Amino acid sequence: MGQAGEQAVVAGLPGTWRVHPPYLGLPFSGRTALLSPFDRLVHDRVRAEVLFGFEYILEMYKPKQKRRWGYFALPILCREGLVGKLDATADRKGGRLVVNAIHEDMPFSKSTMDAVRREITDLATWLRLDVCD
Amino acid sequence: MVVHQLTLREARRIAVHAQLLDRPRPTDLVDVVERLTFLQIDPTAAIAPNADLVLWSRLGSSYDPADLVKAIEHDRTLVETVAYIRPPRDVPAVIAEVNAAESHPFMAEWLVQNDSFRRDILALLETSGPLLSRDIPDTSVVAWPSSGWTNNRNTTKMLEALAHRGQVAISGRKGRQRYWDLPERVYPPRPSRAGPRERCRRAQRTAARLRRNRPTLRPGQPEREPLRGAGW
Repeated sequence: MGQAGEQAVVAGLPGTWRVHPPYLGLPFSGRTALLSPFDRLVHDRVRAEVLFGFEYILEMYKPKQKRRWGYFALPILCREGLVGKLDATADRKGGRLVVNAIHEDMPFSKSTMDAVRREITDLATWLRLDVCD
Repeated sequence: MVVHQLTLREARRIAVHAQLLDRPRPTDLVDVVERLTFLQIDPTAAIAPNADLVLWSRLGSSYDPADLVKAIEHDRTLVETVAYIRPPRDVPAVIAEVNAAESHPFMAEWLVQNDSFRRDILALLETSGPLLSRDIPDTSVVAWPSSGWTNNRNTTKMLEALAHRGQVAISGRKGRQRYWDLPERVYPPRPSRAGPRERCRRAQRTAARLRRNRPTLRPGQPEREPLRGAGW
């Protein structure tokens, strides 16, 4: 059984990569998204760090005072960049989505922050909670 | 062989597109799982359980978690395997891979020692499935060593080992507990008339497709062993 995809090199990155050829040269229209800590885009932490320059670990097993981004921080995707983490908690009894912090790896532009806020509102709507920050 | 040259931006866009995180958003739940190849099940619900959160990231707030339960438990357009939700067409390849790989020696020995336990479970599911694991008596001959700190460890361990090997299947859930049953009552019927050789070939093709889909843009990995046997 051969390897999947074909060999590729990425300018500025070490090593060789594998790419599925039909995905080459496609137009791209990005959006903003909040991701699960287990999302496959970030699941391989080494790949996320090399490819996206994104430093991230799930900190639920860390003592509270040692956490940098929160118990269950959601990676924030903006177009093709991983740009930050949302520290939020669903308080179901209180009917609230509590936003503890929005961690910006690099300071967000106003339009990025607006887009992140819209995603937080959508997340709360989906969870049938009110945003509380 | 041609080596593709990508800019960093192109590489990132390919990775994001492969995860269905660009525009336009996908609209069909089953289609999303087929294209992602699986959803990992993790019950941590600080915001929402992983499978739901992954689907919300793609589908948006029109996604209703009840639709996922319906797809798994009613429509059978998706199936739950141990710790993952998958399209049913991929399950034979996943099982074949487990059966072709050598079990951990400790697990292999435990399964041999507990073969009567295995047969008891299959006989009980045959007459009374689907059942929760707490309703399946622990008739193990040799206990799983970590036993004692959680209830029903032996039964759960055996059920999961059998599910990995395609001898039982997860039929649904009652909260966090899983219902177990015989695979032929859960997985959609397989194309008939295919002999073992053809089934093996199909499973290999599926495994190749899973690998093709899964690793869009990743560092090269060593080649894996070919599949040797097929499905349930």
